[in-house]
Amino acid sequence: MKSTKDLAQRIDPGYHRHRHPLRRLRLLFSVGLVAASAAWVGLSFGFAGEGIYVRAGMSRAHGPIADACSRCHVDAFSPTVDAACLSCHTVGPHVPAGKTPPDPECGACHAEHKGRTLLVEVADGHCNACHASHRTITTLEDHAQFPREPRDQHLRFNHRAHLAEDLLQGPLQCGDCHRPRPASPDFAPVRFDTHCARCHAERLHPELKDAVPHGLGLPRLREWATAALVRAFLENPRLAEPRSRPNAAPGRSPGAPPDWTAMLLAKTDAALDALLTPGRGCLLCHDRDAEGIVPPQVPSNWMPRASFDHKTHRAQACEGCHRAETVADAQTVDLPGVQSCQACHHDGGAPTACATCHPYHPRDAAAWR
Amino acid sequence: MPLDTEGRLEGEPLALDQLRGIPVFEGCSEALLKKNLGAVVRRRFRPGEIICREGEFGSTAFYILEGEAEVFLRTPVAHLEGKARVKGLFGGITSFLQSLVRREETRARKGTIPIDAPVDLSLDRPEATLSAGDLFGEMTCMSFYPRSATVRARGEVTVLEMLRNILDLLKRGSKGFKEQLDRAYKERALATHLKAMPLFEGLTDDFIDGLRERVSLVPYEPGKVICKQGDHADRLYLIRIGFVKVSQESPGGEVILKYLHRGDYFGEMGLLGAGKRTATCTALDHVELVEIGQEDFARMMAEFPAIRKGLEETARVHTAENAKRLEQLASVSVDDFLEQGLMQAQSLLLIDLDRCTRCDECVRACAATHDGVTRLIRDGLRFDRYLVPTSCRSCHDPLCMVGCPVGSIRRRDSLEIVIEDWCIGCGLCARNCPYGNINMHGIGGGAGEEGAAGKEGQAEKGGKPAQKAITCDLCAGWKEPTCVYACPHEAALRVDPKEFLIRR
Amino acid sequence: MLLDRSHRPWAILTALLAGVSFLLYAVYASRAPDGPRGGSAPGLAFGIAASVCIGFAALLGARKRRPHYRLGRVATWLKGHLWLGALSLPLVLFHAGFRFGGTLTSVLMGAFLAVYVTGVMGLVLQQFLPRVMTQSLPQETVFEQLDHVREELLAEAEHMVKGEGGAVARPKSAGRVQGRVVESRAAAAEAGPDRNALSLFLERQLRPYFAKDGARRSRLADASARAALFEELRRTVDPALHPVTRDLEALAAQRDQIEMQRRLHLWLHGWLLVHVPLSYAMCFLGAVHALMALYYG
Repeated sequence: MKSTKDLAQRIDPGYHRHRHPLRRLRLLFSVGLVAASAAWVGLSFGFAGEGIYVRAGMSRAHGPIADACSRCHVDAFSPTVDAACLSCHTVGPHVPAGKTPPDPECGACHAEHKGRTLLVEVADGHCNACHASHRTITTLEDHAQFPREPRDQHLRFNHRAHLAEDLLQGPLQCGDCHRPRPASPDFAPVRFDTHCARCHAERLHPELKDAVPHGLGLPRLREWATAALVRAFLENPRLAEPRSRPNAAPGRSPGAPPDWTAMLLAKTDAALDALLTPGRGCLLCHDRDAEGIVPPQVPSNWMPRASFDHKTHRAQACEGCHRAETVADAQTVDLPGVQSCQACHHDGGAPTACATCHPYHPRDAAAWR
Repeated sequence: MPLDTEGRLEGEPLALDQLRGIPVFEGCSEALLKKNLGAVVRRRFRPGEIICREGEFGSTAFYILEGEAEVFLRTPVAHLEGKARVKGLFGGITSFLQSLVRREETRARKGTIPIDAPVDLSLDRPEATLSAGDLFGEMTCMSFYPRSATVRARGEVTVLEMLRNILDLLKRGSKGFKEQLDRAYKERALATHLKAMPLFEGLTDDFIDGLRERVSLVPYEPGKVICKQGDHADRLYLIRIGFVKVSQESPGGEVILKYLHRGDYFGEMGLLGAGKRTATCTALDHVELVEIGQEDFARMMAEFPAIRKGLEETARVHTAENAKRLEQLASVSVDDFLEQGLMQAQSLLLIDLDRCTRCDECVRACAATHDGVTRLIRDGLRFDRYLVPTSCRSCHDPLCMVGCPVGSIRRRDSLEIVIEDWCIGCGLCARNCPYGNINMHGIGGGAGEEGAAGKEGQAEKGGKPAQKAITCDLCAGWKEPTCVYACPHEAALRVDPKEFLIRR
Repeated sequence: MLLDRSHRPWAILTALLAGVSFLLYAVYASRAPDGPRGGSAPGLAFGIAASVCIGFAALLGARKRRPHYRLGRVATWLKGHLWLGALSLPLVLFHAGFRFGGTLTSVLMGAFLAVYVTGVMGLVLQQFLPRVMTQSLPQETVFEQLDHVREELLAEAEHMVKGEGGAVARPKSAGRVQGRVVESRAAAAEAGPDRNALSLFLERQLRPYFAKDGARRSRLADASARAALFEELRRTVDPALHPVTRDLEALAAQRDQIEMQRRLHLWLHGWLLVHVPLSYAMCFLGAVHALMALYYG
């Protein structure tokens, strides 16, 4: 049995001054690994394009300029400035003139270097930063209903009647009137001449060829009517020979030469009266007040604070959202409910982000109020 | 302090004739006295001068030749709750030691404070008088315990201050000395000693008077078995000096039940019970016992039924406790404990091998603290799950100090053993240390050893390579030594082995 | 470091901080428009907190280089290392938003996770391997001195065979140690028995076994083969030498323990070979990452 002294004294008391191979190996590894990292960082710095520092690749649209750092980073190694973005992109203001617009940098919402993303897809949180009242809307499910209260458009149009199977001229389709307008998300406006006149053209007299022009206004209509009647009488004097002659008018001696002027005025008045008979002629569709025909007020965009693109939804049938065949009056607004949006726009379906419908840079800022 | 800066006893050296003139040296071998002349001095103290202070370390005993001295405790007994904290360099260690002392005081709350003198101090008024013919400081001298009380000269006092070799000489050689000591003890201390124990409070003075002539004082050497488990029980023991280990045999080996010290008694369970010893009692250091015979004990039991009842009650409690201990205690191999000399240690560096990852931080820390030379070697024997690495144990009986020709290895005022700058590099202490804790290191090449402060010439003179002994200095001055402080795994500990290993 | 009760406050604090961080992260992540990003203010805060944790953990190495400085107990530093290091994982993940990012950050995250995993592994090993060593290596010595001790054992065997007594009194092999005690063994030689068989055994079996790589080839390395060999030896030598053969057998067993200690020590410290160098590299790459990220804005 060895004593503690024996055990201790076989140990060289100076052993701790020499680094043990295990510790030497550790030192070697440490130095080597740090040197390797330094070399890697240094080499990548020199050779590897956007290098090892960026989070991920560029967005899809910017792919072609991924290697041209200076297009965006005008000064090397400094953050992008808006001017660089605006050299390619033109965007409108976020708020209508007269209001102080928020002025975030482009990059605040459009974060680049996040892989093959779409920069236009901006998360709702960016909107909520200012539109705090909407912070509670976290999904489209909470979206408010669209404004659909009935309103007088001063144009009576019966969709149901026009879509009826037994229409005199054969049944109509939505697209017969609502034609897409090229290069616009909206439809072209429905026009009397192109869409209505085929059936609803008015004449002053059944034997007069000329259709009453649309949209002249009452004073000019009267002028036009007089001129049209004169032209007609000249071409066809028989028309001017009334069953009751003009001089048979009271206060006139019989046989006296006919008073053409008075006759013409009377004819004109009679024709206009016929046109402006309520429920017929112009007033079949239009309203009339003291000043004449009330201009119809049909908005070209029924959702002024959003942008709905019918073209992108062309795969959907009109009837999927609109119930035109049931609408007989002119006051009902046939906007579909938000539910019909939600049928497709939900988590896992079509996009639900704010900016999907409410673009930050609207084409028509004035419409945003 | 008994030692001056040169390592010699302070005071007036005595010639052989002068020594022989002192009565207590009668009968001592002249040859031996002559050899040990340097180990005793005569000192005179003026009134009010302090002879020794409590808490101090020392290695001498005092024998009063003339005059009276008062012995007292400066630390008020009321300050048990750590208010009397010692500040300064060695505060940590000292307060640790003092806490031990205090704990012992608490145990003796009922009456007296046992001190290292033929008298005991009463608790409410801890003062007593020592006069010519009294010996005090015996335990400090024999086993290097700190001084237990302060002694101050009342009038002009002359004392002999002696080292252990002289004390041994007196106890063995001198005819009258031993008897004188025994008599002094029996007359003055026995009564207080007995009554200090709550159980024996009820003893009448008459009874004690009768006991006085019938008890005997018996010394035991370290390691000596006082009584063995299963032996016939024929006496009751009272400890006057030293430590006694009480242990029992168990299937897993020896199990230590407790340690007893000055003022404790043992052996009553055998006397009360079947007449057989229930445990083995062993002297751990220089022990002196007061032995009370069986008949006297029986008489005591008969005369004082209250004491008997009390004893029986304690015996019953002890038996239950011991049984529980035996059950719980993972057997601590006491043979190892003694064999490895752990009992000697006052401060032991231990490494908990279940925590230690063998990272060697302790050794590097030690080397960093001591100019690149480690004083700790992480190898040695094990005790239980602890490694006892090679690092100074601050032995009770520092064998390393014996024989240093220049007295440079010593204790200062505290626990740690220091090797002073004037070490001549003889290597004796390194040979003497049984545990390999002292190493010799060359100091060539400007390696800034502790001798940097400059004792020139010790290298060149002998023509031998200069070297010095080094040993752990416990990093004195810090709360804990650097090896412990720098152990990342809380595996290194510096402990009092008696406190630590036994109580676990 | 053994995980004992003293770790409880650290664990609670760490869990608390991690919990608070998680709540902050949950709030911040749910509100960030583009999801959590390291470059946003909260993300940056997480990054800074994580680097503070990692930085403190890395300081342990520096602290250990100056073990004698009284800068707080090294054990306390290690506890900080463990728990702040543990905390750094959630902080780093919150900083990164549970993404790896670009090439540099991916490599950095990989290094961090590797450092983390090896650290946890080391901690797990430290829970039980010391105990295994304590139990299975009663003759354990200082790892750094294993080769030295092996040579000493061989020298001891040589002495035994020659009958010069047990422990070795070597001339100051360590250079600076004197005062060695030589304990002579009772089995000292009396001119009598023939030691040739022993010498042969020493040269044929023991010496190769005690050579540097001897444990791999020698039959003595196998406990049962060893017992058989010594049994055979005992049959050939004088019965008076049987005590010597038993001492030799004990030495051979100790030689076996040296190999076992080496293996266990490598297990207990091998993970540091990955943990430490990788953490240096991680700190370097982390610094590069922080610099570039802050510079780019």
